[in-house]
Amino acid sequence: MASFQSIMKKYPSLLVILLNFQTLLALYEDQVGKFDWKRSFIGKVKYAHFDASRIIVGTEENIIASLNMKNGNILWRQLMENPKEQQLMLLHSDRDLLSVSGTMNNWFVRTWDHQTGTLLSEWTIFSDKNIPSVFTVEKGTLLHIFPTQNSHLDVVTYNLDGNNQKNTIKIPAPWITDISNCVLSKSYYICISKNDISGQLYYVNILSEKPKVYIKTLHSVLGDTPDLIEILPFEDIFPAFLLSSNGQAKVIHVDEDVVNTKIFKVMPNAVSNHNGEKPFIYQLEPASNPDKLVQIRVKDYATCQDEMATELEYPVGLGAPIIIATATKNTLTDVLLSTTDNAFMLVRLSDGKIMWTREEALSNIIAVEFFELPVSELDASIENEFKASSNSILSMLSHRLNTQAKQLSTLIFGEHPMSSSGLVRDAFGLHKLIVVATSVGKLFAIDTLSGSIVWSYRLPNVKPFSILGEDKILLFAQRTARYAPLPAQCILIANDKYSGNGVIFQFDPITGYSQKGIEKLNYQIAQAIHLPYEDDQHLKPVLMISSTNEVYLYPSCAMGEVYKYTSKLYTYLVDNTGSFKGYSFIHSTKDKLKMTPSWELQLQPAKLVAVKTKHPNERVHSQGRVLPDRSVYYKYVNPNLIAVATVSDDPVHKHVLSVYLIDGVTGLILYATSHKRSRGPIHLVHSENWIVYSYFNERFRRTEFAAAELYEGHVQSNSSVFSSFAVSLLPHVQTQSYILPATPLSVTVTLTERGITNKFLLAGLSGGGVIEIPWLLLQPRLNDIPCSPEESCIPYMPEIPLPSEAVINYNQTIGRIDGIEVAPARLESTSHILVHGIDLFYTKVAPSKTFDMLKEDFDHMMIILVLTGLVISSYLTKYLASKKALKQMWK
Amino acid sequence: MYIPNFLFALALLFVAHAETSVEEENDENNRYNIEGRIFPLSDYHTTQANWQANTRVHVNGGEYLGFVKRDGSFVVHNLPAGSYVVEVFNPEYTFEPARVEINSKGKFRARKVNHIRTSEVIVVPYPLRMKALGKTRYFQVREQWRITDLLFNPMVMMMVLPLLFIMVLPKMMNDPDTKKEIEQIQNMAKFELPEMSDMVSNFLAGSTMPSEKSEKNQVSASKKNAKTRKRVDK
Repeated sequence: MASFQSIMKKYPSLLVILLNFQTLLALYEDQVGKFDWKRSFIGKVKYAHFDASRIIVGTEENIIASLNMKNGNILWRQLMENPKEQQLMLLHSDRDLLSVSGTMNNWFVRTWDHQTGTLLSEWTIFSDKNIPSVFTVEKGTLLHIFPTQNSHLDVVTYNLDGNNQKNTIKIPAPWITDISNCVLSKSYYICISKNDISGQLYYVNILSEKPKVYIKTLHSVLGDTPDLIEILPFEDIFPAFLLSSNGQAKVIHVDEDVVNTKIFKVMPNAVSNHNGEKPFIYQLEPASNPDKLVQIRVKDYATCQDEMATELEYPVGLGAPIIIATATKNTLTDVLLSTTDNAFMLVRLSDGKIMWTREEALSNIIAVEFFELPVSELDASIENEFKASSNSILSMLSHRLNTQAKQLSTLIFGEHPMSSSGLVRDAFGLHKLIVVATSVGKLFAIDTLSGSIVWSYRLPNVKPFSILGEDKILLFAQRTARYAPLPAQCILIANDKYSGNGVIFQFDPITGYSQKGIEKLNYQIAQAIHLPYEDDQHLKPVLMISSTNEVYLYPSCAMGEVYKYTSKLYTYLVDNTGSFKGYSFIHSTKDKLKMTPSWELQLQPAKLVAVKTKHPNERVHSQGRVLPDRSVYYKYVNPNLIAVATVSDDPVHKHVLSVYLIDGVTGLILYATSHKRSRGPIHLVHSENWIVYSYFNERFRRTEFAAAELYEGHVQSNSSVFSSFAVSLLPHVQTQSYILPATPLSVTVTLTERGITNKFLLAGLSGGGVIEIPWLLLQPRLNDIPCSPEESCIPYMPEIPLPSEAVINYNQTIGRIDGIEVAPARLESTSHILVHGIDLFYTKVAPSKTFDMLKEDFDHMMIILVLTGLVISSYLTKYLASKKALKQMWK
Repeated sequence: MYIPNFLFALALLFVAHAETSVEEENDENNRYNIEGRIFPLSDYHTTQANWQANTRVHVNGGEYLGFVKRDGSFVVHNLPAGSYVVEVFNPEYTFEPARVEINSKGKFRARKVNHIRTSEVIVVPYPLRMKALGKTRYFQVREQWRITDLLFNPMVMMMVLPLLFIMVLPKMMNDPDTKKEIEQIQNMAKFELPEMSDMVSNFLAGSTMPSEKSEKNQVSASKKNAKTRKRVDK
């Protein structure tokens, strides 16, 4: 912002132009929440504590938060470092909240205020040992334990009473064979040497003056059992753990020399609860009643008797739960459950009612597709009437009568239930359904108007693809809801968690209904292409290429249709080593598609960081750019263009960023450039005849944007059809680069129905704002042509202004922006925007203002008043004039 | 929205001071901490109950984080020597970023961020003092419809005035009473307005004989009256 100010000082003449430009874009304050919504998430819950009327949680996203117990809303939330590098290790709730988070050898210890989430104190722990370690808080000290296998335990204790005094002890422990066979409970470190009955149990009290290792045989603790034995942690007020074998576990208490085995058996997921009148043990079981899924069994802690079993109103779509925390207040017991699909819920005993559920899977969205809603039944039947399918007069008559009868019935008996649910297409396509796929493999459909979840579907054992270091699941809209009565159809392509082979899931995006369920493929998927051709069922087939370069079609019956186009079909494969290969389908036969290599490009040793093609639905409205002399400079619009960015290490320039524009059909490199001393993160945007990419300039230590625009020249070679083979001249390239005074996390470009509207770049910044930058600001200025406002050209400015009015999410900060998805509305001026990260934010943007719609603040009243006033006054004057004329005549 | 920050102007005076006095080194692996303090605006407490929890400190675009304590201070831990941009984010307020440079000896220097002239150094005090530039304006002010806006619209004025002339003046001319009145007004007006030539001559005469000025004025006024009366009679 400040830099914007400084620019304004330097170029006062720009102020006028810019002000004109920017004030057009801002939102009015009364529009807040009218068409945008935000949902906040915290990620999969790892730790939870009850604290008065709040719940304090720590999650796998390295977030700590406080939730309202009544409705599960977030009271405060603190986002700590990037969860890909740092993880939350400990969350201890005492007088203050203590969190430990960090990497393998570097941790932050922070204390927080329960009430507000304000930081109270912060210090760091550093270690040169690169081994996994555990933290615990015991008796006012923080224990940090490094177990070294077959050797010893290093224990570092820190006093938490302010001075953080450090004390290191070393305990010889040659009996640690495997860290997964060890648990930490209170101040005891407990291990088993072997996973069967011949093993030994070792434990040591770390906090005792002279730590002594106690050894017991498992046989003496458990008795005889032939099964494998596992050691599991158990939350208790005494040092305790579980020994589980064959799905049954025993609670074992240790206290110095005494090992006390509780006589009852529990499930391995059991937890204890001591804050009621009587201590209890809770465990989850499959419900005995076939209508319910899960029940909670309560056992008396002292006597080990079954107290009761409560069946939960467990929703069908959720995954298997585990108990995270329990608390008893008066007679009510609250149980917090976390599920395998990242949902988090509060259950209140004894009636087993689910108070609220948070769908935390939505904090990690990896695929988004926007869907148009189906027309109402009535509209659909009217549309059908004009179809050519019914050609005999009689059938047309019967159809007409039928429709009219239906119309009459809806008029009398009200609307069809489908339309009453509100999921019906509106006139401008502003109401859509967003289908999102999350990294845990759960699908959600979200209503754009309200932000509510319409349906959800859990896909078990599904794993995303890893493309250029990012998790991706593919979603393709095979058929939109336009073709009533045929339902819309969408296809999801992912990996199987265990075999690594492809998985297909075909579903109706409007209802979430799947006819076939999950279909497992027997090959790995290397590439999937959504073909633009429709078969007779209006389905757009999807081509899948296996890792062995076999080609498969889905649905396979579309073969005949696809074969017609094989001469025009090309594809490319990229592998992680940086080799780029182009293929054609020329040698396909009527029943088998076959790939033929056509070109190859080796980018090694550079590392591929971004590959971008244009959005398949993008349309280019204007063929050229009109120059001040009224001549046309024609755009080079190549639909087959692939933009590729690589980063390579260089001994002189540290990092070198290279950007290539490659024709996907011929493999011709149309443009290549490199930036020395530049590194990632690279954000590449590819649209119409231009690309924009952002990178970090190491020399000047700033983020820069570079834009490249391709032109054919003053003569257009072929105005109707584009062919990659008809290259006579290379396109002219105009380039320019700019400084971005912020750190972008994600960049994308708006998309409208016909491409008439101006383009805006949307950049999600590290501060949590999404800012719109007009493409006109970035468009390379032509060298020899003066730039004036009349030509809608803004003089070049090195630094891109980022006024706060251009932040589309105003003060609704979005945590860790991950991606921005764009879809056109049927209204040309408007684009749908979904920003996802930890939070979810939806809004609509109109880059050229809503030129095709009356403004919201259009004064209907004024117009009516003026018009009626005019009509009345004209009649009045007519009457008065005639009266006057009569008087005159009598004179 | 930009409040000129006098702090930075003052800061130049403290260059030497800042470089020598603030020197901090962590013995472990040469990691350093960036320290600073955030100064809220005076109206913070009324609008944001706990602004400390809502304010985040990002170093190098979120690579390192700092959290704000109750008293507004923050520490960003574990930074190797290098150059860092410290940004402060709050949903309601805008802060100016600062660049902090830590050299390999552990010396700190803080300066203004200038992306265009990267070598230009305007030193700011370290530990950082981040002051809110002002409330962030996210919204455009909606123009409200007011009757005065319509009336004082030049187009409307242009229409209304001729209308007045066309409609009202002829009527007034027809009425004998008003005719008289107009005449009177005109007479009055002429009576009061001294003639330009007289004024000039008075001025010239007055410079030599200031005492006679008032007398002359009266004379000239009576002369003029006579003239105008004649004219009216005609």
